[in-house]
Amino acid sequence: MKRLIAVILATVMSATLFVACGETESGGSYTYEQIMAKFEGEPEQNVTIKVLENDIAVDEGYFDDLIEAFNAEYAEYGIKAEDANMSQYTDLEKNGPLGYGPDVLYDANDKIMRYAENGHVLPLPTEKLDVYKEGNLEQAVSDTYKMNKYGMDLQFGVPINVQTLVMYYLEDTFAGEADADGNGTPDVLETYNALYAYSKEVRKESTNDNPVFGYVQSLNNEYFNFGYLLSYGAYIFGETTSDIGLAAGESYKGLQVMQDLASIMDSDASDDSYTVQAYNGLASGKYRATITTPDVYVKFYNSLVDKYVKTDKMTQEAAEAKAAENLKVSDVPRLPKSGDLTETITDVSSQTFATTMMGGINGYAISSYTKYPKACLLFVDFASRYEQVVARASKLGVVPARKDAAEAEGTNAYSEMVYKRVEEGRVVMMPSVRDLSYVWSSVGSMFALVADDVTVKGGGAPKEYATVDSLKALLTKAVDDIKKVMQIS
Amino acid sequence: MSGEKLLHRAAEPFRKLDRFLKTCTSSAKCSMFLMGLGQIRNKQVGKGILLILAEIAFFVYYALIGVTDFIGLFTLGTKAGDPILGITGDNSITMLIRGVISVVVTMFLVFVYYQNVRDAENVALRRGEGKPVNGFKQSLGTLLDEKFYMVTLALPVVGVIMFNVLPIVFTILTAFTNYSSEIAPPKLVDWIGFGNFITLFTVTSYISTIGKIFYWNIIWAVLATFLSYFGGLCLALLINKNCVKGRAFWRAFPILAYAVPGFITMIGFRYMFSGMGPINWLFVKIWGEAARVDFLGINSVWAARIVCLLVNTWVTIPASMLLSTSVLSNMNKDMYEAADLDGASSMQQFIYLTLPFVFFATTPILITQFIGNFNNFGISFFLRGGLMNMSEYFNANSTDLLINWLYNLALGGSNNYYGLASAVSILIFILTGTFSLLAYVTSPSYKKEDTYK
Repeated sequence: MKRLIAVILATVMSATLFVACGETESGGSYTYEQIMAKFEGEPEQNVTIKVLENDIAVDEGYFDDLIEAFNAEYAEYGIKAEDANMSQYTDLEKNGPLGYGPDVLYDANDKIMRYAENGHVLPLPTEKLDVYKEGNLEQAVSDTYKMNKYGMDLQFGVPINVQTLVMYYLEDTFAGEADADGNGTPDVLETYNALYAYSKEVRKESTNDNPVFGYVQSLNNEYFNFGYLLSYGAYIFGETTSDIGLAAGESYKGLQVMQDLASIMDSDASDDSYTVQAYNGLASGKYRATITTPDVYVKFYNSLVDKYVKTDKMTQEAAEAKAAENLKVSDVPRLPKSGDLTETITDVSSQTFATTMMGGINGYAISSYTKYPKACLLFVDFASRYEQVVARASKLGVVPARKDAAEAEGTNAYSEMVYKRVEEGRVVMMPSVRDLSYVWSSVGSMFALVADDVTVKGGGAPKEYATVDSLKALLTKAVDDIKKVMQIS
Repeated sequence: MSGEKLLHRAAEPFRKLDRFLKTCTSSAKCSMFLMGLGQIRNKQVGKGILLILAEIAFFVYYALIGVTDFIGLFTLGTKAGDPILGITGDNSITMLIRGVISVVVTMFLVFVYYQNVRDAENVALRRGEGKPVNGFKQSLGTLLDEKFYMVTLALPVVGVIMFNVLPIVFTILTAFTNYSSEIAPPKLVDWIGFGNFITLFTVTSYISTIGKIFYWNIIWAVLATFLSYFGGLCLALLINKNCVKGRAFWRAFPILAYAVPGFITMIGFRYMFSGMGPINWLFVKIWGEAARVDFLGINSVWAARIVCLLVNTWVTIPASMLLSTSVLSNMNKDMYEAADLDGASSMQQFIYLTLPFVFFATTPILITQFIGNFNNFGISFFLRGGLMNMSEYFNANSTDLLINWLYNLALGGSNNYYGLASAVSILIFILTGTFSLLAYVTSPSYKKEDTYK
């Protein structure tokens, strides 16, 4: 028996020794050239790269134009770009390692940088990209794709367009309204106080069967509403992500603004209803004004054209011309220093201040799992060139991330206005860190709670959060909630 | 039982082994040394060669991948990958799965080894007694005759091991790792022991969430089952009444509701109870804006729960009604006639005759319904999917059940906690498994099996 055991043990041990011989783990630091080695040399030839684009760009035909132009440009190499045919919310973190992800993806900076943290997207050789040439990008814009990895600052994305909040309205709806400063925007849309009073009036004049709202926005949306807190001194992260500044400064005033806004809307304010219905609502006149991101301009435009053709019986051409002329985009209104929208503003410059809103940069990134990094680099370079960015902006209404494109004539009229806000620091870019996702979910719940407290529980006025102390407590609780989640995660 | 006795009992298998080693035949000893050697000694050369080949196959497997896979089960990898630099690294999850496979293969080897020794011993004894021994062809023949069940069941057993047992073992093991969307390949996943369970029961936001969800889960399972079961029974009794004319016509309505896919119905109800839906429109029309109810909003608690219960009742009653109808059709009418003669009222007949009979016949189904409702993922998902009231719950809302929370933890949102979700799935399994067993062994179907024979 002992002999048998000895034989078995000897066999197992020798087998272990046999299989334990493997490659040694590489270590040490890497040079920039080593990291960028994938992009060196001639591009891969006769390959097809799959590009995951934004849905609107696909629906509106811009993406087809882009890949057609790219494929023609690189036909000599046989490089072909095509639609990845995936949901725009496909998660590279989950699908990339399994080999299902796209080669190139278009997404917001927080998402792309989240991928970058775990190495799912490649750092890019900026010296080979036209968009990164000096003077083309505002520092705040290019910084959104910057991350310190391998001991050096690397760029993980190619900025394409700026996302923040802008006001949408129809010019003819406000035709009779005063414009004292002559800047083209009616005075009622210049301050939230004026907009609040206007909305009260409009709602009062309409019936319950056919309610009309002077102003609507989804108050549960963390991205849309975080600006109200930021404007009154809040911040997302301080030096580190453990410093969460939701309750900093007088951020409770931001919640008071939201409460006042909720009082001019209904219970749809605490979910996505207004965001989803805004396009048709603005066209039909049910909603007079709303704020959302510039990249959905084309959705408002299409709804308006549709309405002119179907309801007003215009020809397609006339409807398009009128929609382009009538649909206006302006800056977000100014906020009262008091945080009280019911206050009457007599001196705009001393009683109000310019609102700061959240923002982000959408752009392209290259998956680390691609087999054709050089072909992908050619694509992102091509798609971020001046001509393409201008074409995208004019076709989709987005605000270019490139400074030169934002100032171009072919771009939409409001791009300069948005870019100016970026330069003035009135757009706080989403931090490019993973921990932001923990902030979003808790803040979204808090905002919905505040809106619900007014529209549902309070019947038009705050009920549970009627005092400054209760609002401050709510903000402190949200910070605690986020810290707990971050601790767990 | 004293410690000494326990020790004695525990040592019994070793004593048996010792006795066997002392008394076994030389053939058995040969097979112990090398699988198949005893069979060759017993003049069963074909079988012996097959067993030797099997042993070689096992050792080739261990030499090539088996030992590495087995070690990998414990380390879950030592070299993290870096897709940016093209470093593949160790994939902890693949290593976990391959490690489990190596354990299964080892268990199979032990089984084959045991059978090989047993077979060598039995055949040697038969030979010693002068009894006939099967040759290779005859042995193969028995596999197609008296042992045909082994041939036919071999493939399903392998299938069950591969596609049922392995995923379950994988899920259980995942509960003891820090696997999440943040710590996933190319990063290395680690064993954290009972870390996820400790988190579930010690971190405030988890324990308060699990407490609230579990409380609602129990209420939901009881009420949903009760409403569905008795709703269906009442409807069946009503339609079965002699005074009802055109039964087929009335029975068709619930069947129509049953025929529509459940999630389509739920999406319809989601719209009906939404802020802009017809129910709120009606409320506002009659009683004004103040009457608007946020039925399914993020902060809604009992209004949302009641809507979920009602929608579930609507979706499940037809099946319950059909079941009750079929059970009622088997009832002995003589009992009712006898009860009538004895002067029993309709209610008494229902309580003492109908209910026990239906209950007896449907207890296993009732348990299934309860478990189904306990794990009813669809209702909250389709009526309130995506809503997470983070100020009150962690990744959940007031109508979410443990199964929804499990989904939210594992796949909902941008952060996925696979390890924690696996720990929750083990809890669900313990709860539902315990309940099913207890409910069944205490039910009339189990205790009074002969009553209605």
